[in-house]
Amino acid sequence: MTDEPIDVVRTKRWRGMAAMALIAGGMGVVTDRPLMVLVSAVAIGFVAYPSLTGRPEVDLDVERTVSESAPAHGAEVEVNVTLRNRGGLLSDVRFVDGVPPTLSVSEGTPRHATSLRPGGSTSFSYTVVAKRGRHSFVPATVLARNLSGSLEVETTAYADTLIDCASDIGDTELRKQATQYTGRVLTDQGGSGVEFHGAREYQRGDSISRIDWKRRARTGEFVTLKFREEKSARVMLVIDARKEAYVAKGEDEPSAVAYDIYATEQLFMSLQTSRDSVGVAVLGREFTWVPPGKGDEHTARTRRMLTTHPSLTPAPPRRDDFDESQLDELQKRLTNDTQIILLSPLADDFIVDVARRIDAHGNSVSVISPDLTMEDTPGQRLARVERDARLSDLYQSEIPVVDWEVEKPLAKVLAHTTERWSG
Amino acid sequence: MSGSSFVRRPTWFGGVGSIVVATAGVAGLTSSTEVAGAVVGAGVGFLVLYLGLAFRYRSPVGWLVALVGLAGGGGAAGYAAANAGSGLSPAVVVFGALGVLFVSLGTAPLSGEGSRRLSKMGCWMVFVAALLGAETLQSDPQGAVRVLGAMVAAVLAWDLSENSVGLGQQIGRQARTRRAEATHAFGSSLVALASASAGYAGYSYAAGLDIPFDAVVLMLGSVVLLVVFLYR
Repeated sequence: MTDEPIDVVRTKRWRGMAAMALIAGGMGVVTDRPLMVLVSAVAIGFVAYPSLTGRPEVDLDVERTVSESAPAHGAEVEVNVTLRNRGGLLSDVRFVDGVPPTLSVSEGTPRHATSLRPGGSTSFSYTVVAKRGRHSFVPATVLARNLSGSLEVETTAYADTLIDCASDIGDTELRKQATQYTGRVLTDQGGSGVEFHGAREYQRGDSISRIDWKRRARTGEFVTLKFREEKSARVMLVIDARKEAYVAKGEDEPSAVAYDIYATEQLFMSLQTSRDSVGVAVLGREFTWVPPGKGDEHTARTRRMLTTHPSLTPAPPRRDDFDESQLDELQKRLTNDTQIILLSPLADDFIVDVARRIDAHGNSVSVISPDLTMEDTPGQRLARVERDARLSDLYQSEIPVVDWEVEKPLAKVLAHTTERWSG
Repeated sequence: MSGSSFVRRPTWFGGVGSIVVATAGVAGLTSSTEVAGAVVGAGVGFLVLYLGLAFRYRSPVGWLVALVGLAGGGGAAGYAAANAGSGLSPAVVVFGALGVLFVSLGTAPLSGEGSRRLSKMGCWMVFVAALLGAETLQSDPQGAVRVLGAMVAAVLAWDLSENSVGLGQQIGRQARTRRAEATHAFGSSLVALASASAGYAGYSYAAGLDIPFDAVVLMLGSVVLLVVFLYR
């Protein structure tokens, strides 16, 4: 299904025809040459042509099938796309499929242009290379021009497709902020658990199974063993999708926001399977929020938000719509026991302040930051130095940061970094 | 990553189409088959130049092919200009051939994503050739058809090359775009045919009835103004 048009552009591609008509006509009159005047007749036709053709109405059905929805890492997956025209004649439709930003196309092209009569359809295919992780297709871009090409309508079309290539992340290290529910976060509270914490004198009501019977036999004392309690966490994944966060390594390369979305999806799935409550919030075009929760419905809702929400489109926003009220909104909604995983390329100082502020507010913050800086030009080197400074600012504020070189699988980077955190 | 296979270069259909159309238009300006043949030869040369430039990304041999095309096209154009002599000013051939050359450089492309400016400049040159032809073909009985043909060629080459560069930027050279381009070209050809026929009919009618030239001009002028203001 195509959405409402995002943009209608006058292409001005016939600009110059009026000049040709006037030059030919004028010269013909001045030099008294009927043939020159005749030449201008053709140009006049094309001056009028653009206004004879109306605005194309786009109503397309998009169907996408993949040869394998759960491929192995590195396997080639053929993607087949069929477009069906449900509206009137489309003389020129240009379609750019929403390939998951983290996958690369190995054969063919996800781009296609054709004309479609009412009810007509076309299909094309291309091949992507699967990588570890879950990869959702993003909305495809559709450009339709009228017959003269004078107007171009831009819109998006979405079809839900997933390539799920073994989970990328096993376990996610969480900071010590936990709810009362039993889960994976090791607390410093003694109680029931598996890891030994300490012992205290027996009190009425202690479970018989926790009495140290060996000690009772040796000394006659009743002592209760305490174990470290493991509790589940409430986690909020916060994506930095402000205009500043749309940094990329090149024009056609995925932006940091694309990597953030990818990482969010992986983290979300990994945390969901370990009984933690997980939610997602977006700072960007508008404040977007899925409160922490569990269950299939919650998973479906979150995935839909991650793949289709307009705040998370692959293209950067034209205007900077972010304002600090979004931050207040986020803090207002966070409960005391929620911890934050912030996903941001750390492309400006403001986001560092945000992390510090939330952390100081009592919600412990961890940061995962895709590294998209380069070293080719002095400007790029400066950006890298600035980012390094932000990283060390965060370290000094005792906020753990995962510096994610995007060429490496997230799981490995996470495992490596969390070892350092705990070590 | 997702753009690894994406090559932003003008599409084949529009590029080759605009060269062929522009060549045909210029060749049609002359009544001498020898000169027309030489112009077509120049067009073929510039087509080879186009192909050479297009394939240079795959193999450096492309550069060699391009040079051969340029030399051949230039030589044929020079021969045509030198022999234009009777009835056609050499300038017509020179402008026409330069026009075809520029169109092919803009869509080959000479550099980057192709250049609308370069190919449109070529179309302006074909337009100038048509105007100069109108000057020299005044007494030719088929002058009107020849001039109209060249003008239609200039406009269609404009349309095809512009569309080719635009599609190249959005969709790329690798993708299938032929159907969209053919439909688009069909629309433009219809408009070209209709306006050329209308112009020709009016021209013959006025000539037959001996309507004063000034009256025809005034009428055409008012049509131009009307259309320009409607378009705004």
